[in-house]
Amino acid sequence: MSMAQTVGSDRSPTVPRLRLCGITKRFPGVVANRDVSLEVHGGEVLAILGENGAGKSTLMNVVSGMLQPESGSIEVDGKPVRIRNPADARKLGIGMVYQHFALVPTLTVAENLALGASGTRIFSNTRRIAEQVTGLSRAYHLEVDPHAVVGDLSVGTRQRVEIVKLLFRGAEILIFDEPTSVLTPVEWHHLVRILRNLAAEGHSIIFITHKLDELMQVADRCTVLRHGEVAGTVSVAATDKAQLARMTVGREILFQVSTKAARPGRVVVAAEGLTMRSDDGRPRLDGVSFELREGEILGVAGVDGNGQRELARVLTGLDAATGGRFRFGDEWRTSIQPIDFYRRGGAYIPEDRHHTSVALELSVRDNLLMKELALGRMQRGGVVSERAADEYCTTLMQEFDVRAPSPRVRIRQLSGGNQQKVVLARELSRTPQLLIAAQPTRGLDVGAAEFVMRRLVAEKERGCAILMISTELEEVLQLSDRVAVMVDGRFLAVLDRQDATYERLGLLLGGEAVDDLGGELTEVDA
Amino acid sequence: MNTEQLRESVLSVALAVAATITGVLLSMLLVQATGHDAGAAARALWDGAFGSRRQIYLTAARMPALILVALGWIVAFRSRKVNLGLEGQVIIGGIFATLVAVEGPSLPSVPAIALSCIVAMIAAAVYAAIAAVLWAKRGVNEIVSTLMLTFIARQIVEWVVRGPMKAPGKASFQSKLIPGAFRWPELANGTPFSADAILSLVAVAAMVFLINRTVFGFKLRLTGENDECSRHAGVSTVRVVVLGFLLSGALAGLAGAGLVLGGERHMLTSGFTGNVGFTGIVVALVARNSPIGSVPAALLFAALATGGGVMQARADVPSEIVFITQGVIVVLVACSGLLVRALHARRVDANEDTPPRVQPGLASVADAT
Amino acid sequence: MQPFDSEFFRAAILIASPLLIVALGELVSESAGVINVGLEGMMLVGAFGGFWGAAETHNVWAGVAVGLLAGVLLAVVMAVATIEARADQIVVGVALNIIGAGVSVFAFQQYVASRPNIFIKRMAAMTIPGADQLPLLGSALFRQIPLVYVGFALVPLVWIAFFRTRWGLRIRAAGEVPEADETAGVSVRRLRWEGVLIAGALAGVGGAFLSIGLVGTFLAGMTSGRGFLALAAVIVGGWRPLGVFAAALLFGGADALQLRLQSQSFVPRSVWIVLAALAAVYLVSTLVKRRRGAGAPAGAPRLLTAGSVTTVVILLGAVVLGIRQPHVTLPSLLWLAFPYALTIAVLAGVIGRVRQPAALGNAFVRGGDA
Repeated sequence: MSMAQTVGSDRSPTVPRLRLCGITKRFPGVVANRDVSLEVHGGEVLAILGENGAGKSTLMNVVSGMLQPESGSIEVDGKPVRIRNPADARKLGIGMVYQHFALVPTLTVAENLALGASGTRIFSNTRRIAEQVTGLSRAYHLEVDPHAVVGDLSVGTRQRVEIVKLLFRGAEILIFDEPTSVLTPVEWHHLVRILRNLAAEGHSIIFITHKLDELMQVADRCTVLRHGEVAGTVSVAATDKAQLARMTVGREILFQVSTKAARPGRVVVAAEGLTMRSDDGRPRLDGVSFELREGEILGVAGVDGNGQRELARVLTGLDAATGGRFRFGDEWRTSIQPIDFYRRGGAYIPEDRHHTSVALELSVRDNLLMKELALGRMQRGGVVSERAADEYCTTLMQEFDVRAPSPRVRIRQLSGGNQQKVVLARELSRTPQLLIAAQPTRGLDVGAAEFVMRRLVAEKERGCAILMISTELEEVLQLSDRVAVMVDGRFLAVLDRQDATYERLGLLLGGEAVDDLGGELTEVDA
Repeated sequence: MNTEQLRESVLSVALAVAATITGVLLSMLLVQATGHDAGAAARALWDGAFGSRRQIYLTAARMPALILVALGWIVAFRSRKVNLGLEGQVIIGGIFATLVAVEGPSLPSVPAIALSCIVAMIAAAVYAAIAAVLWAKRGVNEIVSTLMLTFIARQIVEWVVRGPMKAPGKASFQSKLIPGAFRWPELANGTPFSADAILSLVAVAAMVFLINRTVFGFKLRLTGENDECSRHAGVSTVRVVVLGFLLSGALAGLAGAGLVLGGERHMLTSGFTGNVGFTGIVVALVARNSPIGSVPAALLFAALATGGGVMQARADVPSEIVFITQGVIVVLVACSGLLVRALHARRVDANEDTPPRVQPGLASVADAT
Repeated sequence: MQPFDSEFFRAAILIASPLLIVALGELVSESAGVINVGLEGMMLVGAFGGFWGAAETHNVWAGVAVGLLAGVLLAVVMAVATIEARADQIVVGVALNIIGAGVSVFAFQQYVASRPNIFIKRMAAMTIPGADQLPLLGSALFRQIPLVYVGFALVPLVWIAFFRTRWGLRIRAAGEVPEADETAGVSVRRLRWEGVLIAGALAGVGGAFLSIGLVGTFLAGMTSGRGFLALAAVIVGGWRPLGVFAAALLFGGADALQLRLQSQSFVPRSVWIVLAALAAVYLVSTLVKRRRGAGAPAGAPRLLTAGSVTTVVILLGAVVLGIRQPHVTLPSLLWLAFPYALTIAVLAGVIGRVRQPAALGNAFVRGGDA
């Protein structure tokens, strides 16, 4: 049985597979999409490019039936359709791979597929499904084991499970929502090949991204969204990165944060063989050693889920190391209480804004104050000193340009950029000696990201030691004095700035597959 | 308070009032449907609650315990702990208050009451601590453990009034009478309305201050809103939660003490709580966990309770209808939360040149709770 | 071996059965992501419904059916409030307990007011001839009322539904990663409705079990915390059908034991031995599990010491028991508290090793709340 037969071959090639006309979607207080129109044909990869907050995900949630637009129409194969829920989308052959995969970690791959199987069977026939998975996996080079428990799989593999899932459900229009932040360069090239393969078989691919390089590698055409509106649609062959960047941001971007070379002082924080095992005994952090000095930025480059999160959590006291030791101040230790970390002059910008760094339902003021109060400041006899606190908040909001009508509004009601400014203000207000910044620009628009990066550089020049963890290689390269490459819980290499090039980092991140990657890289670039 | 918060408070109050009216109307409909005269029942209910000076005092006398229990629920719930076992802690508080009063030293009134109340609070806090420590050390679900402890407490009080604390020479199961010095002074002669009412209002003010102005209150709120964030900010969250839970138990203990030291009967019986440990929770839920809101909510439920008794006697409507009313009101208030939430889902900084980051889709599902 | 005779086992299983039925329903609901604290209230309306149905029709099965419907009725309120209006699940559960307590007594008083001499016949035991003559467990397993068999039949039924059907996969997904269902075009809303209604139906049956099967009439508050015990049984059972089964048996056994011991002048030696044996089994199984999952060498030595100390204490205790009969007496009223205390102890021992469904208690909104 050939799984990879050409789909939709009986349809007219001139009629677009999917066409959106004048889609408008509002949320309370904001228009996410305004009059958006686009189309995608069979056998084509269409990229949707836009900054964070440009409305890309909202648009695709409309297409996949998760959200209902206020106005506009959708056509599939020239016929107008209504997509009221995900089941409708599925019937029309539309499937979406989400950033946060919709897989049940406690079930196997086959069971995950079985729960979405159509038909009226009562009993789940996982054996038959497993066979189909194997077939699809072989046909599209997806390398998925149907009997593996999803929780045990790497992120890259889970993404391929999602693809198998869509194909299994007969999807012919496949939407990928920012699929790459979780992938290593090698896995990315694997994905490019899969996507081109799928397109060659007649599928339509919609690829949502904010990264120009990726788009240039994989897409045929590109629709640019800006402020929820279509800024233009171009053929990738006929454009270049500069033009796309202009369309995305709406102005010329000269995005260069200037930073002086470091003049490192004394060692602020050091680690020796830092190790952390999770409850199941697997190492999340595996013998990490480094030194970080005053006035330098050590960038930690790596794909999500390779121990960066654990490194930050051990150093800031949220988790304890199970082996090795670290030093912040004078004594060596395996763990530290968060409050002691701050007392010693530490500051921390966690990667996960909504779950760790801010309390969404509390006010901007409360979010600014939390660490001051935990440190025993701004209070007298256990009672908050209201005036000192108000003053503190007003000053910080001005200095960091936090745009909120009042410090008393819930921080949930602010944009991501403004929320991150609050976090930045809170951490930098203590003039820290050490700053651990994890994904400090994630989810921010260009303006806010630039603001954050400039502040980091200013802190470094003041003499702060900064550990900057990021999955964005450009960001790491731009800011760091030294770059550590983190793979599988280990520092694979620590490079000086002049030795760290984009290509070299990419190769290192690929881990052991470095050798056979060389040829492919140039091939894709060409 | 900015306009947004003002609007939210007004909306909350309006919804609670609407829920109350709906709940009462539905119950009256049920009364009518089961062959009673709803009009007569409603009149009896009203007369029972507010019909005469004495009835008003009877209603008011029920409020302190309800308010204190509600405050106990609120302080634990601020850190997202569900202390469903307040009833058990009320019982333990009542037992120990009685113990001090009937077995303790003879003292002048003020220190006597103070001693009795403090012992009751400590005892109830210790009883709550069983659940709190089991949660902190072993992760035991506090809903189940506090309820189990309540059932155990019920057996304990049943046992003490029949055994160790039984008043000698009495046929019924009850403790000795509380000596005069240990009784809350009456605020209105010959009625059970006593000075613990003042204490409960002081407790409300103290709770508002504690939650909104103190560092402990801040930590409690932060931990309840986002435990992970609180820990990351340097708060020892387990300690904060356990302390909040102990305070919750202590407030229940104080309520229990008030029931034996105040009130009409001045003694311990097995049913002395009249279920205030549960009704108080309902009070807090209808007040949407606002300490100030729990005062009018307590008035409502106290009125239902006194009125319900009269309604049963006069209109022959089983007083259990009051439970139904309570439950319906809580469900309605809980459901109306959707409207309040919609108000603060709005974005307020949408006037920048860059569009705000909306985050629909799956990423925000977890936040939507 | 007094008090562990065949009568004890018969009582234990009889008492465990309503708990089992209710807990299995709750298991389904929680697996789908809705925690139902209102079981107690649903059981109470089920108990009255069962009584009323049986009294009106003189047919116990009609009574069970009415009890089931009564439970479902409250479950509809639960579903509308928590799934449709996204109200807090625990708050609504608390309210349902109050409503259930109120409605059941209100209705009962209404009903008996007009019929002072109303009574129902308890459900008769169904004996499986021959098998019930087996020693010790014969009458426990084969001379019970049919509802007991229903409870036992539900265990494999739920097990198969959970692990072998597509619906079971979907239910489990709804409580873990609801998006997995939603993106597959399977409605999480519908699954959760199903879970809540099943929990309500089984809680209703469990309540009817009490009035029709155990007591033979309706009493105010006759559930006396069984709804909450069922909630605990789901946790202790680790959200697995067989685990819930074992937990229900344990709680049933504790209650049966308590009933026996109330009337004894002191606690018989056999009870102490059984308690020591249970503790030892628990300890050994914990140690074995810890050593098998020994990925964390850092924590292991300390745990071993704590474990071995406790083991030694228990062994010493057992030796002492062998030599001397302990004279412990408890007032009968405090024996009534024994099952509740045991529940807390078991929870303390079990938790930390079980994982609740990831999305339990969370409202689900398609496409997020924005």
